[in-house]
Amino acid sequence: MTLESPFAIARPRRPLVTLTPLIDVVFILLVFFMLATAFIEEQRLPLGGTGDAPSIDAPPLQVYLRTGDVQLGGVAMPLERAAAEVAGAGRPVVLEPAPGVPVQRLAEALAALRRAGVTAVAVAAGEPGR
Amino acid sequence: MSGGLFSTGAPRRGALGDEAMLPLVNVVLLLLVFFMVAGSLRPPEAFPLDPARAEGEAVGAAGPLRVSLSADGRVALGGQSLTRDALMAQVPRGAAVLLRADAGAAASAALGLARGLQEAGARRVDLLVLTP
Repeated sequence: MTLESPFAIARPRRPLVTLTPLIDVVFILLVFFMLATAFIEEQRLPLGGTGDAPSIDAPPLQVYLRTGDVQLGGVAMPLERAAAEVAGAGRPVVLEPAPGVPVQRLAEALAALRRAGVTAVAVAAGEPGR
Repeated sequence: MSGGLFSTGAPRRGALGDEAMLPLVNVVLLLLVFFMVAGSLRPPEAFPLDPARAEGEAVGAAGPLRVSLSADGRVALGGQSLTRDALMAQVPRGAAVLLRADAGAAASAALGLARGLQEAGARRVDLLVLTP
């Protein structure tokens, strides 16, 4: 009778490599990737800086962004019309949000200007960086 | 006896029991490969927030610096909450920043933060949006 090692397998007919631990590990990996994976597509809208906005030598148009409409040259109009007019003018745009306008509205305005083909958009900072 | 997820404590049937599990292993492995290939790992977040919904440009593969702004004005760099002064001190010169602002935050606050980041040395600041 030989001394039994602590790693001796109780049943001699059991195969050396079993699938159960592999399944355990793969299952844990699967759960990890399911929880840690993001499928939501993120996109970006430039907020200016020395980014890729081309500089145009023309006086900029001021677009004052409010919750319901925008003011372009003192005239209130819907956002889409202002974007179309600005795109037709071919001048850079300075977008200035009114106080209390949420980021969602700002994103919509930037997206509308981008859709209309306005590339030179600067954003006037409301309050200075604290 | 390995205390595996699928061990029932019943007497093992040897190689036959393992072979019966092969289709399950195949399916689980396929699912694993799908999640690894199709998804991208979520970056850490300091606090939950709801970004604005709009159409934008694609975010590049190289992950830029992520700065978060909550609706009540808290800021975070990556997954770490910090004060505004500490944030400005930690922005590397020439960095591209992705501003993850809550849709309900004030636009003026987000723009003020963006300008502060640019004054602190950020080369460009982009607003993060989700496809509607």
